[in-house]
Amino acid sequence: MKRFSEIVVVFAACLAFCGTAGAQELRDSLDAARVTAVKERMRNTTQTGLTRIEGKQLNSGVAVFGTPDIIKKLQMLPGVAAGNELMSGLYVHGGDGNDNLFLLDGVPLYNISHFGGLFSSFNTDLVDNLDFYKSGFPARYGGRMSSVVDVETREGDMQRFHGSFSLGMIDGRAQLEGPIVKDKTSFNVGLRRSWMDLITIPALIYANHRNGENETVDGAYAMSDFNARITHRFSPASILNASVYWGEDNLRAGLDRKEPLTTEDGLSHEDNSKMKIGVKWGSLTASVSHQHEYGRNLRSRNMVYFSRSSSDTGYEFSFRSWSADGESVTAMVDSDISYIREAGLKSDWDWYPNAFHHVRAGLSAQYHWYHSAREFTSTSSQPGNAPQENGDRESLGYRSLEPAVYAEDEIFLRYNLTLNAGLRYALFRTDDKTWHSVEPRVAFKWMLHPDITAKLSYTRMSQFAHLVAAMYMDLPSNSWMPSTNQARPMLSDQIAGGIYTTPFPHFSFNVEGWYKTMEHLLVYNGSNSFVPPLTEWEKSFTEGSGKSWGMEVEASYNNGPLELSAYYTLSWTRRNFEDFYYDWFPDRNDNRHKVNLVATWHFAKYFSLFLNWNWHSGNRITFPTHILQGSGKLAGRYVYDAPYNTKLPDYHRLDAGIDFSRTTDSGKTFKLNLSIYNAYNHLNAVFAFLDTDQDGHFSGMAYGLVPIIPTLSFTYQF
Amino acid sequence: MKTLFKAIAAATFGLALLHSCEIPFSLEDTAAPKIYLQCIPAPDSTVLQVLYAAPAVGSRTEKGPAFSPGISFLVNGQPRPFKDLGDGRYVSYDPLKEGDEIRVDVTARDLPSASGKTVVPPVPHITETVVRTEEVDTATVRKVTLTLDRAPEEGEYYGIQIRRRTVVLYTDGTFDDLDIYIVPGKLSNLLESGTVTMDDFVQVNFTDGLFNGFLDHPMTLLTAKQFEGNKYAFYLDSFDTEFWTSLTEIDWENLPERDEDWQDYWGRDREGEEDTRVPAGSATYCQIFLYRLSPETYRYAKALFQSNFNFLANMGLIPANFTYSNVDGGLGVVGALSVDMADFLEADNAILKLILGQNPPTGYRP
Repeated sequence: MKRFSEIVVVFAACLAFCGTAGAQELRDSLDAARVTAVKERMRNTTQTGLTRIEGKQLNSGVAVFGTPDIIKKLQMLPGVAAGNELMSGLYVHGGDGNDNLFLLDGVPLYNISHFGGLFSSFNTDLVDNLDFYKSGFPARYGGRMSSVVDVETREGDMQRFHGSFSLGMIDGRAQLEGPIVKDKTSFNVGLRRSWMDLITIPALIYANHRNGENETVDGAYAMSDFNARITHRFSPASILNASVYWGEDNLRAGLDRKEPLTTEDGLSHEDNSKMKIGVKWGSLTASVSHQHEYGRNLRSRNMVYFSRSSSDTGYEFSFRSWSADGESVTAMVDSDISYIREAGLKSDWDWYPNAFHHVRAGLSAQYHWYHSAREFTSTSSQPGNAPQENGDRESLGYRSLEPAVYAEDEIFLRYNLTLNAGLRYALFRTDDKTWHSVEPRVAFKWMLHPDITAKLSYTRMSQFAHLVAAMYMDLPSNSWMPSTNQARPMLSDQIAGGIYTTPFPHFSFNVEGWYKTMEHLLVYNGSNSFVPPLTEWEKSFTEGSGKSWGMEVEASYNNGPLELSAYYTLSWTRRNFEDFYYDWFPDRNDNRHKVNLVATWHFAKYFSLFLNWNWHSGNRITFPTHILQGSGKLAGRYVYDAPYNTKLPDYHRLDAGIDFSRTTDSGKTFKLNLSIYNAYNHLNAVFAFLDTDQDGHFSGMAYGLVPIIPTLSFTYQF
Repeated sequence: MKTLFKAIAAATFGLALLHSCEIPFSLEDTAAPKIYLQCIPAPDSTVLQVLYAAPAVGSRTEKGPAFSPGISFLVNGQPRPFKDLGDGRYVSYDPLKEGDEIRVDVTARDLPSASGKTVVPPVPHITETVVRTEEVDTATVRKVTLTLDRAPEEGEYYGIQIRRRTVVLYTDGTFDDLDIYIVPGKLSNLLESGTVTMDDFVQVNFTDGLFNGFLDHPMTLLTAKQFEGNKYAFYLDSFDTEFWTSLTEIDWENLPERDEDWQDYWGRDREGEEDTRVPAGSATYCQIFLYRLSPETYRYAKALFQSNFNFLANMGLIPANFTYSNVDGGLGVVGALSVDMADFLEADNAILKLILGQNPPTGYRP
């Protein structure tokens, strides 16, 4: 049934593709395909908190394990906390990490990482650009509380074929683009796959050879993803795009052990234990969109899409043993399946009624399927006893409808005053409960001087999807659940404002501040169980509030071969869960100060040097604040006065990279990249324990795990 | 180029050697000394524990400074007398009833005053205790089902303690008690392990009217989720009956020599004094204490349990754990409980009748 409904939706998308193939010819609409092109500079946009990153920037610089990563780029930006080292955490303006809207060609993506969060799901070879909003969200975006990451893939070259191959430390990538029908239709496809499983094969062969025939070990991990985009131009003003993304992680492990024995009756048998674990998780998205320009002042983008994120975990164990009474067999099978599927329609319209207004309006409708199921069966057969079978199954499913409508008007009040006023209304219906959300979005820009701009924005965002997770890790056992009678939609209100300047040529200097409140946050309250229950899952979560405020400073110098950037963040993040603690307490990612220094230097024709230095106040942990003194059973016990009362040592790290890139006369480019993560090998604290010295004085002892990681990658572009 | 690679490799290796994975760091000295108060009023008696809570940073000893707290114990606004037991413990034997409002104020020199309040919760009523024997594989397990007068509702908190008491009768007419606290088992068979959650195993130590230390008097915390309607069922024996039997039952046919260890085992380690009594027999019975906990009591106890997972919280993997407190100006808890008890005989009722005369356990069923 699952497969069938996916096929139906993908088929519907294909039908939409064919149905619009006969649209009338219209004039060139390259601009229509790039409606966001006007936002290239922070100073020029009305919105606060916007950063645009071009695809080329993503593919240069330091690449951990030789794989360029969008999330790790975003983690360097001010106002963003990274959480645990090396992971794909994105905690924006005090957010929870599960409140970021990731859009890939306009389609929401729920699972955004591979390998438990080590890599993001986005293949940078195909990315054209991304817009990252931390505040000042335009009314056309909705559904998440803290940020929007809008990733657009690149349309294929309409003229000629070209592509690239890359080989990193743990994965390989291939990308190919070109015309299907010259100047009319093009494609752009990318494939990425890890090859760690290839390394493990000889290791397993060796281990199994050494173990002999009585023990066989199996294990492999592989992640892969595939992107494709087909673009067809009916006319310069009418463009059709079809995009597909598929990504999957596969982990398997197994052990088969045999033990020959002779039973009391003198017969030869063997005890046999088998264990098998298989975990598979990933995402699939498919979309078809049509962009159309109706004359000079009106254009539209209509889209139909499907998105799925799923995980499937299986565990099997069997033990077969012999005794004088006969054979005993014990077997257990455990499976855990969850998915969220979403089918949606979007219609976005841009209208320029006159020189003073730019109106955007649109509507969307999404249908969500949420499903989680766990099944456990066990069988036991003992000599002389009837076989026993036990089992348990729990499953949970929701279907939700989420229509939304929005309108925003960018009003040019004066030559130096711009107002973007918008309103978004969203409805969310699950079972018999309906939630409504009215979200005003206002942004105001005042150009004080040709080189100085001031901005102010207020936005309200709501989120109807909740990540049900027991641990702060991107695990396959995590699942998404909708807002229900008992789990209210999460809400955020944010005010942001700043000054954006270019005081000297090639130099920009921006200061931005924000104050954000968050309501109906959920935190898991049953840390005594690492897998949240499915039935009545809401009862395992406690509702609370959050707030965050701070200031970001950005200074950039860009003059040809040398680019320098410095980012500084001063921020506070607090949480309040009354069931948990009576007062506001710091969030675990409450990093008071954060500094990022980035340097890029293109030198000696073929070389580019990249340096990123990151420093931030340590993450927070909970340590004993008091010790009970006196006599009796309680003496000597620790008291933990408040959650997250202690700061880990400050974090700092230098990443360095060097590109050697040479283009041949025939236009082919060879690129060798040496990236060194944590170049001066500073082990940053990941966790800590209380320690006492010989005199009984207390101190903290933190432990670092991630050392210097040098990687080499090779790219061939043709 | 070869030399360059060698240099890079040597530098990398050297850098790795220079760094250890341990990073000592100093703790922020922001805490101030406070009064620690733990008071768990119960219908029959109330124990108070008042201690000096010293900042962890800079403290070295467990003794602390001289500490003479002034305590006020108010029930419905009226002061009640209490007795000093030493070691910072105080007790009040004034009976309490459901709905009584308790307030405790503590003052001490150079420390901020501390106060907390709570309300005595209703007494739970066990209307029936049923013990059934089930055969599982080759083992025999006993399933106990408690029936309450009504089904617990969401937001109500309970705790359960099970005391297995073995009474040993000696030929000279004296007897000893051997108490072992056991936890309510949720499994009759290992194969059922997929059907339980860790919520069924939230245990803290409750002894002498206080939550404290080692898990030798475990109380299992319950919410409405652990009940099926008005019933709570558990297994008295683990699926591995032989293991538990070896711990809780005495093989009278093969008593060990009365060596020092054995004396310790019976808690009669009187130096230089040999116990010459001869056991005549024993009886074992179970006492089940079902507590209704006030919300403060439950939260404090749950936070105590969760502190077992601090290492995971400090790795940033799960939410933070901390010590719950509802004591204004200080630390600790003022939280009440009420209790009902059920008991039943496990074995050798004749001996028990002999020992206890006309007062066998109320759940006694011949």
